[in-house]
Amino acid sequence: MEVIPLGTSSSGYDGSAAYEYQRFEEPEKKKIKQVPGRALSKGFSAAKAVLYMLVVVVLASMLIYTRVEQMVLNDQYNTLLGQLNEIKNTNASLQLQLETRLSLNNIEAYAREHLGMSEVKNQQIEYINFDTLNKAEVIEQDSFWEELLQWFRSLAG
Amino acid sequence: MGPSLKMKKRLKYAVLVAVIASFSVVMCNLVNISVFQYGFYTAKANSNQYRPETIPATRGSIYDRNMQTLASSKTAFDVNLSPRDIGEKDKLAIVKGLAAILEMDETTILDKIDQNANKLYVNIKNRIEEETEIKIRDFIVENGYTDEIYLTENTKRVYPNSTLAASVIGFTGTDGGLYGLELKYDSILSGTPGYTVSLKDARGENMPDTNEERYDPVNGSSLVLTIDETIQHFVEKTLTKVMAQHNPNEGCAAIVMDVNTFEILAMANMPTFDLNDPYTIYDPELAALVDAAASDEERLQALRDARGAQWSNKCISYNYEPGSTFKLITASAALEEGTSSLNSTFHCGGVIKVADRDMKCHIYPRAHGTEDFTHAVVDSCNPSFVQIGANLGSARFYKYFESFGLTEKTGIDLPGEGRSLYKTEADLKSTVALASCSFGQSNSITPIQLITAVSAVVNGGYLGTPHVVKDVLDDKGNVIQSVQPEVRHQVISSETSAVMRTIMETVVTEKPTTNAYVAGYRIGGKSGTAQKLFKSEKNLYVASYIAVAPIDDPQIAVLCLVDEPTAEGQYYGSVVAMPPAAAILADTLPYLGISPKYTAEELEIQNVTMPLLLNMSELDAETKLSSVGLGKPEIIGEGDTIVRQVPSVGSSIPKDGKVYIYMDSSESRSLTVPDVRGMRPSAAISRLKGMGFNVIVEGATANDESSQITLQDLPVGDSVPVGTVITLTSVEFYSD
Repeated sequence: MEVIPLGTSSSGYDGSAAYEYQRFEEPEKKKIKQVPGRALSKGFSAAKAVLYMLVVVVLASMLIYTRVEQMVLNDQYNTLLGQLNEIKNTNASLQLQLETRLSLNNIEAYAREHLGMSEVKNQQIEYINFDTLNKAEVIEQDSFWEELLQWFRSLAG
Repeated sequence: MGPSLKMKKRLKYAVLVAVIASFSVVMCNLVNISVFQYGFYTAKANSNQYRPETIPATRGSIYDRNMQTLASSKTAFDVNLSPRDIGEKDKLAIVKGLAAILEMDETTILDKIDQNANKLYVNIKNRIEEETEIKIRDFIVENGYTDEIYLTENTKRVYPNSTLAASVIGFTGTDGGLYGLELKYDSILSGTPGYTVSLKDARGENMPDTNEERYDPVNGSSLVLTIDETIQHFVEKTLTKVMAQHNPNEGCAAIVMDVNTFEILAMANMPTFDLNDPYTIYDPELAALVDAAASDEERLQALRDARGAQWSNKCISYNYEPGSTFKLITASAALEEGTSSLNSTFHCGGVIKVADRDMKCHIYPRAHGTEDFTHAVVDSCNPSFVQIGANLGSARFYKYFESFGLTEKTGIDLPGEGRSLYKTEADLKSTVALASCSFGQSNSITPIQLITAVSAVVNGGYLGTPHVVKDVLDDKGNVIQSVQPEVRHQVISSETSAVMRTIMETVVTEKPTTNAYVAGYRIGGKSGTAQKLFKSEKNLYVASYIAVAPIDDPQIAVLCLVDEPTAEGQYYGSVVAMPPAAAILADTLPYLGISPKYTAEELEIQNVTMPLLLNMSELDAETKLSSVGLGKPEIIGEGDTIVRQVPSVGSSIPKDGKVYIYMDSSESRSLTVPDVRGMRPSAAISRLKGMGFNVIVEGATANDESSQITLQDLPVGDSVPVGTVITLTSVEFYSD
């Protein structure tokens, strides 16, 4: 006689369902293994995600902003440097123009033609002779107390 | 029914494969570019981003001894085009616009654009002025030609005083100094350009926080000259009058030198030129010669000759026979060697025979007779100097010729110094050669050699090296090099030098009318007139005069040279070259703080300055005039106070002059200025005084017979009030 193991669909001796015990057994529940960290924790919220994203955006923006600011300031610096050089060059140019106008020929021509002046004759110069040579006198500085006294006096009027 | 799981899985894998594949391609490319082709792309990036730039060095300035700027550099701009960026529709407008602003030919600009059509850079014009730069910028901005036209920075050399010391300072070209001090000291003035390599952004600006390699430029050093701008001005003003009065064919020149330090205080040549435009002929007569050329070839040659004439520095490059000024050298040598002394006597019969040659005195057929040593110099007697030279002998003559530095260059720090042409010791064995050399003929020397030698005659015997640069400054103004006076050797003793100073003073005091006499100053001098025998035309002379002052304590020497004066009958040194030398001394000595010491005789004949008499009463005016040494005035009109005076306040009037004062608004009597040129001084004075002029005569009047009026300051035919002062210049025709 062929032996049919229990639990098979045709495991009843005479093939009846009464011996299909698996029909009456509850199906085995599959055990779902909890992998730590993979599943969303209960406490996690969308707000936190947005917050984190915001922080990243802010940091990135700050980085970009500093770079942009640096470029702008660098640009301003170069512009100002250029202006400074331009002003220096203009100053040098104007200085030269001034010196050209103040050449001795120009001064003489202006004095003669516009101011009606003439060259000085030697007899128009009066030479003053001194018996003594040049002298220098050292002025003694007042002491501290004398200065203080003078200050009080000035207050008193 | 939607896509099944399997389908979704398949899609997922397909997308993944595609992503991985494309990512792999990108990664492979990245690895290829950044690893395998690193060198290639780095080089390409560097060539795009790293811009090497030359940092030009600022050229040093040139100052006079008082730090007045004589030459400096300023920023200027070059106008450039980018033909590749010029579209057909804008081309004509750009050409027209630029041609109008830059004053250029439209065809020239158009050709440059067409010939460089693919280029980003073509230069149109260099170193434009500020006004032009502003117009160009406005043109660019108004029409939006920022890509097509652009300006690049350059420098331009500027000479504020234009013609002052032109032949000394020189000028620059695109590559540096071309002439004068600008050439001689080019390496010092130029400096060394720097270099920088840095990362540039798209606008060409430096990128921040990037490495920059920089080699700073070394700016050029500046020069402080020994030249005094004011003394240079005195000299050039005087030489301009010489050019107008004597019209010398070959121009004129003058040097002022400190005899103790050998510093050149002034050095001038006429005709001159404008340093800011050196290629244009400045002198109208030279320019006329160029314009008169018939063909293009002749014009080009005439232009070259004219430029050569105006650029040449006669003072150092021109050699000429010094004539009688050389007698100071011969006399010094004879005294030093003892072959002649102050007590030696010589005979002048008007002519002296040397070998088979007759050598005449300049006063031939007259003669000086017996002359002592001093008067041989004072009278500039050629026969006396033939005897002095013969006594000295050829060997000793040559020894002193050499010792006074006349066989070699002086070593002055200017380019183009000429050499002398002279008789060698062997040549001088000929008695004729020795004789002619003794009185200043046959040898040709340069003006700088002569003034240096005469400085040695008067300064105690020391021959020095003349120089025009005093100090060299760095770009911050610190002195990095200072030129000290260099004495080459002592030629004559201090005793001989003292004797020569006395002799030179005697030349001026005994013949003040033909020498550089200036009231209040002790001056020594000597004139010279040399005929230019090497030229085929006859009667061409070089007139010269050398003066030293104050002769009792020499400070400065002045040498004036007039080459081929053409005014009728006026070619002697005492007539042509002496007055400018005297004028230069008269201006320079007070400027240097050397005050005059007038003798009683000089004070007696001095002119006075007209005081202010307006609004005074008649009595007060008389008192005032009396106090300054003037006589009673002539009163015209009636009134209480003076409303007008002639001469006007401040003008010079001789002590015996007549003053006219008007007490009301009566009309003054007018005089018409006559022409008294060519008259003897006495006749001219008499005529003018008779008419009612006040007369001042400058120059020679002592020997009325051989003097004549050559200049009058009031134009002939002018109408002037009675009592006006007229100044005459008198010259004595005395040869040397």
